[in-house]
Amino acid sequence: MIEASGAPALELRGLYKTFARVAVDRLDLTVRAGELYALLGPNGAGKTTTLRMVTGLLKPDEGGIRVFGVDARADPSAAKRMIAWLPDEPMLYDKLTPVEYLEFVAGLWGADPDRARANAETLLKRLQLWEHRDERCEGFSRGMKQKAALAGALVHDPKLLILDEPLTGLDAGIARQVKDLLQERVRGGDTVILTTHILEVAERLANRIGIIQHGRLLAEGTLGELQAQAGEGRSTLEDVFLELVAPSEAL
Amino acid sequence: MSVLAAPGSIPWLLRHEIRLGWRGIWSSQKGKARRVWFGVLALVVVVAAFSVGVPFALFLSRIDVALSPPLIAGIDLGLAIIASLMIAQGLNSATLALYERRDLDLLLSSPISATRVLTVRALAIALGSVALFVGLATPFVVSLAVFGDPRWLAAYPVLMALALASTAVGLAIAMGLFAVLGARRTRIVAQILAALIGAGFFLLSQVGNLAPRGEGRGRAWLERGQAWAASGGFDPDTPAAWPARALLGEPLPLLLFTAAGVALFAGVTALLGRKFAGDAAAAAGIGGGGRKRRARGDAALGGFTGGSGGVLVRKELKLLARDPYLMSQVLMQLLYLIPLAFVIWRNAFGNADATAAAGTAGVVFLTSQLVGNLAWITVSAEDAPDLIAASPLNKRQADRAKATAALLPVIPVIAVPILGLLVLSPIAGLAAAAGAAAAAVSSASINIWHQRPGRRQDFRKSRRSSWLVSLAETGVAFAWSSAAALLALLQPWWVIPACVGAGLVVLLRRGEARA
Repeated sequence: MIEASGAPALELRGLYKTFARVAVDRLDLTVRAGELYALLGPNGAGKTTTLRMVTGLLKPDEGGIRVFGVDARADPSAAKRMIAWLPDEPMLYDKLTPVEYLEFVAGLWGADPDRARANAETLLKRLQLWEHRDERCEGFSRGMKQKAALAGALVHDPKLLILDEPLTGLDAGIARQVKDLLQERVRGGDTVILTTHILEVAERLANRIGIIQHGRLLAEGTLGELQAQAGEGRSTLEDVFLELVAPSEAL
Repeated sequence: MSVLAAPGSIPWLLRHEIRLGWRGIWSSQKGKARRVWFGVLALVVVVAAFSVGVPFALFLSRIDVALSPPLIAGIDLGLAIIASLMIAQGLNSATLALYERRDLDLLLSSPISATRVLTVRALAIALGSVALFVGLATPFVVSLAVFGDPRWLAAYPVLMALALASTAVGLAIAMGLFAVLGARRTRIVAQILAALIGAGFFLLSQVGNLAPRGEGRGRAWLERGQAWAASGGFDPDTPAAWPARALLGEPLPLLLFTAAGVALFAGVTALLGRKFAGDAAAAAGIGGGGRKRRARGDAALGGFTGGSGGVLVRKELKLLARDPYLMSQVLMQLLYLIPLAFVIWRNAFGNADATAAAGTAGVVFLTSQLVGNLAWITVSAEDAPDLIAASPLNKRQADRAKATAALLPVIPVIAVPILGLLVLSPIAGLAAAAGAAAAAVSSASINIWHQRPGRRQDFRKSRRSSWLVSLAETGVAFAWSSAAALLALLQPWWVIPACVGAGLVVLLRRGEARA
């Protein structure tokens, strides 16, 4: 594993991307190793575009991306090896079983077979998919698919886990399982970055929160720091968010 | 709003279906391109009318078209062929109507009756079936009506009645299969059956060719048909003459023919309407069942071996093997090559060189088609492109693995004919092997360079989404086939088509580089 000791998990410097309009506008962002960072913002703020650039799915127009000190633009393969990406729509194959899917993902990331096999078994049991391990994913509910995709993201032992709206559409039970697993990974030293529109999730799980709008970082810090920044009487993250982001664009 | 187009009425729903169908046809064309295509189509109709239709009409106006047994037999045969093609299309479309969700859930959950939904969907299928034939017939029919006799306009109601009846038959077969085979198998069987019906007349016409010359069953049924015609079976006063008389505009036969088509359509849709809702619901559930393997208890996991490229190849092969409907679509194209192979074989029989050359060309063309189809599936129809892109595997490695996955299943398919050719003529076998290798690599490369993203279930539509690339791909296949065939005959001219094929591939590579 290529990892610069003590380096931040993710460093974005002057990240810039335009489509028909500017999507990410010279964004500077640092996520420390071992923290759960929630990236919030209204629809179209540039959250997903930013994360897709980090994961190598989109090419930035300008700017730098470092993952644990590795320049992701110069050596994308080394950076990707440390990252797992979980989009809001699970990247699954309907005709594969969860075990086959995990085997495939582990192979793609070049994970050690014995370690990946053990991880797969642990994850399938932990996410209550063990009983369904030989069923094709085509018959799964959305929640089960999301869990299978999460298991796939974790099977190759990523150091940086990036999740885009991981809890959307999940019932309370499955959402709890996912949240518990993410917190467990952070306690184990991994880094998690997630986007969510469910502010309570960010409020409860995140060590630090970043709020972006129009591709720029509006505010960043712990919940307490953001409350202080938003001013008196802003007791919840929702209040803070609505204060910082124009009400018409919020959520 | 008119009463006819009241919301929920059949005309209102039909208008909705036609609008969706129309937008589906033109979805890949933008405003200007659409106008250009319209212009080209209109030009084709006008040119066809003036260059062929009008002279034909003038010729017919000078002679007396009398109802003779040969004319009746010819019209009956023509209508039967059209009907078989319409039934094939109706069966295919009716099956798709059951499985393709689109707005079916919305319609069936509304207060509109299932019978009405089925009637409208079947009407849309019938209109789709008749459109091509109306388009082909119009230059002739209009010219004949203008310069000859207006009664030729009877062709339109005859074609529409035929489309209604054929759609009803196709629908009845689809739902019959559904009742007998269940939701999972119907889609595949219906598709194969539709292809067989569609190619049926051509296949039947080759029975005589396949039989030994001068005798055999193929000749026998032809002779029986000729004997029946000679005994007055196609006389103008027999029932066999009614379709011809309807087409020639005789009022009573035309009325009866049209009424029969409408009655069959109305009867089938009325009878099957309620069942349609149930079948559509059952079809919706087949994706949700999830095929289960034998439970393995709490046994530890196996597998998890193989490098990045290896797992990608294995994944692609598993997905292909587990989608029999898709594979049947891929292999179905081969069905249409069988009659062609019959003709080539028959004509080349007795001439070993010609047989070897024809076989060599066929094998190379087949390889190109199969690899092209499979490469589109593995490269362009990737279900999780972001997963592959986010992995440490670089694009070149991923492309190579996907091309390998497209090539591997084709090897056993073409190995048998190549071995046969090697026995027949070693040089032809070697030419076929070399040509097949060139064609396979070309097809796979073209599909990698010019990806046309689409969903696997849209295989037939998406595969042709770029007509220029499809045309070039076919051109490359023809070039390699011709080169291999000439090489099998030890003709030095094989170099020319080989250079054309290689040149086309280079051009396509450059096109990709610019893109």
